[in-house]
Amino acid sequence: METFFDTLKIEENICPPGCGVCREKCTQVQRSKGKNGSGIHEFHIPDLGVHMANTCNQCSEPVCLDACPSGSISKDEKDGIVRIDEKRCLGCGLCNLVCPYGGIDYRADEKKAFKCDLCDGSPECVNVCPVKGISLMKARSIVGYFHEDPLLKGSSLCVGCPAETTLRFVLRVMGKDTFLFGAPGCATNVINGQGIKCMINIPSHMSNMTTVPSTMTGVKRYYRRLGKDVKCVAFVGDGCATDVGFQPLSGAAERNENIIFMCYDNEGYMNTGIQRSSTTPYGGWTTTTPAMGRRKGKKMASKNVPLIMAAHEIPYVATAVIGYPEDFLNKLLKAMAVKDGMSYIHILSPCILGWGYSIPASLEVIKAAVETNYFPLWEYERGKYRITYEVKNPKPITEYTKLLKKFAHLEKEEIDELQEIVNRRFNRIKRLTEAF
Amino acid sequence: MSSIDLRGQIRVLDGNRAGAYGVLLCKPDVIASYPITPQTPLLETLYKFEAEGLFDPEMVEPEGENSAMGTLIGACAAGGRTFTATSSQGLSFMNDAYLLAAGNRFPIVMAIGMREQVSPHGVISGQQDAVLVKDHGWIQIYTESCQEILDSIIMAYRLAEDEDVLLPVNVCYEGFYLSHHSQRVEIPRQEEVDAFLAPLKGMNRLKWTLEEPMVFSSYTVPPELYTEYRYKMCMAHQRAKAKFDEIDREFAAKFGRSYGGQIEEYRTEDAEIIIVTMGCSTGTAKVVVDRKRDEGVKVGLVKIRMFRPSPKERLIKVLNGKKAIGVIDRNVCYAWNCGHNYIEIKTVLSDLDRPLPVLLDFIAGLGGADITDKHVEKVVERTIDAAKGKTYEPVTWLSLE
Amino acid sequence: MKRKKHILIGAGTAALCALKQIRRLNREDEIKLVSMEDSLPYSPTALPYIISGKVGVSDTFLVSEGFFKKLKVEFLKNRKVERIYGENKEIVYDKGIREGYDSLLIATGSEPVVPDIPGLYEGEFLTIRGIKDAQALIEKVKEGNSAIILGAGLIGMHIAQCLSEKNMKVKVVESLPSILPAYFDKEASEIIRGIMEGKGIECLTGKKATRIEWKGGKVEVNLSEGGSVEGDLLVVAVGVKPRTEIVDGSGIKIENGGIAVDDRMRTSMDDVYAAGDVASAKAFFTGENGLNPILPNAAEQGRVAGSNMVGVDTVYEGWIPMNTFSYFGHTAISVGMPFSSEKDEVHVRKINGTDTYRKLIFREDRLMGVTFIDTEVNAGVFNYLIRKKVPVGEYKMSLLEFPRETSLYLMQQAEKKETISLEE
Repeated sequence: METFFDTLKIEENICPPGCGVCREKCTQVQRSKGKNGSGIHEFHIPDLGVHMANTCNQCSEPVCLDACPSGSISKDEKDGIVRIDEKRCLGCGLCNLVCPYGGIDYRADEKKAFKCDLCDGSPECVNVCPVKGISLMKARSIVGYFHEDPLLKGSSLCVGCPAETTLRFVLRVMGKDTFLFGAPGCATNVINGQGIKCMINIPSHMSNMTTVPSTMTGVKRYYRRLGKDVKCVAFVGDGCATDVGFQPLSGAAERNENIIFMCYDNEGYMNTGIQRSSTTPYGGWTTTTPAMGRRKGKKMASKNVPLIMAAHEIPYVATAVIGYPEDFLNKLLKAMAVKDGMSYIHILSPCILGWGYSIPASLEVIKAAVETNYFPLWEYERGKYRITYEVKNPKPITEYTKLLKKFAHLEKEEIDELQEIVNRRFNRIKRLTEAF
Repeated sequence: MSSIDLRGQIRVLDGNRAGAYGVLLCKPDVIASYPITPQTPLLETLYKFEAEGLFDPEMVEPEGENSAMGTLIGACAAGGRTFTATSSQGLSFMNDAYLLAAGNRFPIVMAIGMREQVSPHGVISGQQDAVLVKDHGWIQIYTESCQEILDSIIMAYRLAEDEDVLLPVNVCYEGFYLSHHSQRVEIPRQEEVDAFLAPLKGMNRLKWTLEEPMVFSSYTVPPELYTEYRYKMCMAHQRAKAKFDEIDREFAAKFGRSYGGQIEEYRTEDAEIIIVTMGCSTGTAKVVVDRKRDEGVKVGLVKIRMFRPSPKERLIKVLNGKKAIGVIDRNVCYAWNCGHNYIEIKTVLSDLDRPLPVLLDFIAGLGGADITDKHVEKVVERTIDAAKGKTYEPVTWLSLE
Repeated sequence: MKRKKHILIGAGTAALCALKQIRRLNREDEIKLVSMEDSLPYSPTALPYIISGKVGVSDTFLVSEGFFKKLKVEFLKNRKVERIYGENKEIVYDKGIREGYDSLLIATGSEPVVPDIPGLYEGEFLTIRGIKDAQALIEKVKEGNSAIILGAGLIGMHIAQCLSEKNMKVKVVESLPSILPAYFDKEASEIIRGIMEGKGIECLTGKKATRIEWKGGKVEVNLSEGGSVEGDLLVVAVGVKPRTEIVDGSGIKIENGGIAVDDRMRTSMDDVYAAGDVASAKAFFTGENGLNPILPNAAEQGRVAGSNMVGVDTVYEGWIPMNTFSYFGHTAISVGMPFSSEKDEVHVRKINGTDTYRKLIFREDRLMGVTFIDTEVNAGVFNYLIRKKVPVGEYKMSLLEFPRETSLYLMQQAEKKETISLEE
């Protein structure tokens, strides 16, 4: 089992020019321990407008440790901190030579290597940064909940598809005692394998598009009769959840079955080659809502399924994205804790091919969707609505649409309409949080 | 003891209630229900049983028939015994999951309170709903009486869950004629049924568990594997036939009632002509057969109980050497302008010794119409005439005459 | 699954890294580490520091006894493997005992090259490869005495510095025209030489030892082009060569004097791997096999071998020359190609009044090699930029002026990209 530890995260390029408060503080702290050096360094390149800081990552498999000729570098098994034993340090500089992340300083004058020791767990730089650019990423807040990944490496999804990352994340949190349900769609091969081969190590079932919530009901109810509480989790696309399989979903919600239903919404029928679904957004291009001749993409707004699910008054409903994993984790944990009814999580999952963006940009697209309030992160928990991630200064919708070819044909009029839909929907949620 | 617990008693019950007692006696783990006439009272009765504490299954009320079957698929995959019932459009709407159940070899038992299909609409008896799905991979048992509904449900579990079979089974009974018509019914005692079903406990069956994870229903199987699945399913259907005869014999030994297994042969031994029936009109036809026998006519009757898989071998045996066969069909095949059993029997003909018997089809009782003794008499007479060499129409729409 | 047995021969960095990697990926398999020596594993890189007295021998052991217990590894000391029988997947120990393996790693390291100089063997000269050698040298250190070192490579210069710090008079004889010739260009080499000579170390470059004469406890080294030097002790440090006698007669392919391996660290024999100084492995820049006996390569090759030994297919990207040399409070670092070719763009920066020297070699918009003297940098970051082929086109001058800041910036940008993208 892998172990994960806390690490420092430094925001990119937000250091005030000339600032070195973190280094000064670190030097001071180190001096009080009788050491000379700093584990963190600011670096300013005014010509390039670069103002950043850098420190050790406390790697899980540190190469510095392997390259030390005197065995003086160790990784603490308890707190994960990579430390140098000063008494044994030769001052040879090899650690500095092999660390690709600039995590170790070498001081020729003192013949010593020096690095961040994370102040043994409560780094002081975090507290002094004037722009709050340094934070201690609490590993346990996410990975502490991780179980073994039940999926083999690799997958048959398109390269870079965030649905795979999302599914792995979900399953690692859910753990092995989970029955997984899929339906024909992009994730099918990952969930159900092909032929007699599969890449998953938990029980999984491929249903028809119309039978996912009901099959889950059957499994859950049968095990309940046997006195066993098992987790039944669905991971299906928007075609299954919000279109042809919506009736059974609504039925299961009304019956309040104790299942966790997740829709990875890529806003269309992507596995069949990009046709519109009920969650395809206003103006969005698909092969059945073309942007040519008399047509300018989809004419109507998407079906607001998470809100409809909340209207079923099941114990828990949430929207989530893999780009905000802490938020996602909290929601998964809440969904898993529900023992008296249904949980529904609606996940925005961009489609590289169907939305038209380059492979590395999935997270950028996800973040833009959240930062523009196109896909607000909220939850409904036993009657209470709550926005779980407040966007301080929502960006205009163009910051999202400009990333995606499926919106490339939109003109001002349509953009304004889309903005209007986004505003209206966000305000509705906002008002729900105030009213309930 | 609850006043509705009639186990071990002899009562007058309609087919739905008789069926419900059959289900009660088999103690399913999960029941899913969605109402549709004429089967609705069967499921309602199960709710009464559950409410009164006669048994303790998980009761699920899905929002439609497809989800009802989906629920059973889940429960059955995990290893449970399941039941539901439907009729007509309900069965059509269930089709998506109905196919899944068979393809996955889930031993689900479902009653079909048979009714005509749209269009035109009609809450009327018929067999069209059930015969339409004849090649969807399910075993289908058709019944003649309320007692037979009850008994067939018990036998259906024995057949479905047998490790040599593992296929879903429909127990079919005509709406209103049986579903709402009361007859004398012996309701077995629970211990008797427990003992009858006991052999299933030792049967091998894959179960979907956390301990031994597996994927159910994998995607895009290679053609050779797909073909193998199909072949194995065909073989299971073939094995089910003799198995059903065995189960019937065992049932007769325990409960004193036999239905003949795949088919019931009524006064066929020295018969020269045979009337083929399926479902509740058999009772009327038997009366006519008796009457004609009294007149010295060598007529017998074959009741198709197991419509799927086809009781081919039994039919060949019983029909060999006969002079003429008259089939009464309460259903239609648009393509061939006849009823479905006519096609079935015609297929069997090629395996009979020469000279082949003359084969006639009589479409009757559609749209909730009665099949009366007069109708059956016409059938017998025309079949005799045809046997004597008189020219005849192969297919007669009897009700239109 | 059946438990496999992995035997690792050698107890240096390569073997240890392979061992750790095997354990990381497989908790069940049997692992056996066979060492010729009777101590815990150590790195020869630490020897000069033992000589200088900076650390004691026991402070340089790479791992403790507990390490093997914890990782469930059997550690055999003082055992020599004589032969490998690939067809039977067996090794034969020094006493004729045979043992089977499922996978075998040869990580026997290197040994000093002793040149064929007339008279050399007539007296007691020293080489530095093991702890015993270091201890022998310590015995001979005597203030005011003089030492002659043959070879101005990293080991030679390092020993020179140690002995000089012990107030010995040191003379270094190097046949090539400059000191540290493998890693630093002429100009850098001269700067380093200046410092060394300032500390009294005499560097006799471009001179070959032609004859050694031993007389009355003294040693005299006759040099090409006439002349000679005299001293109280002689250290031979002209280089190292792979220690390959283990594969003699096994049929395992030898090239460049080392054991030939492919990019999975597999030798020519099934299930036999080699890593570290002993291996002739793929070079990053040329793709051709060659030797590069430095510690970081041993570590990386050990990890790659370990992965492949447990069936996790891992490709070795190839070694990049790199080194760091500290001397009298100064540091010289070289990463990547130390010498430019005609197609390269070279930028050099010196700062007046200091020993600072920076040289950056670019090929189009890629960084190919860097040399830094007395420049505070995180050297590994340059290794990253070179290895990941990070385009640095518009940052060339910035790299020269602000090498540390700019390299960190480029690394962080590249990392950001790497994190977001799933591999293309």
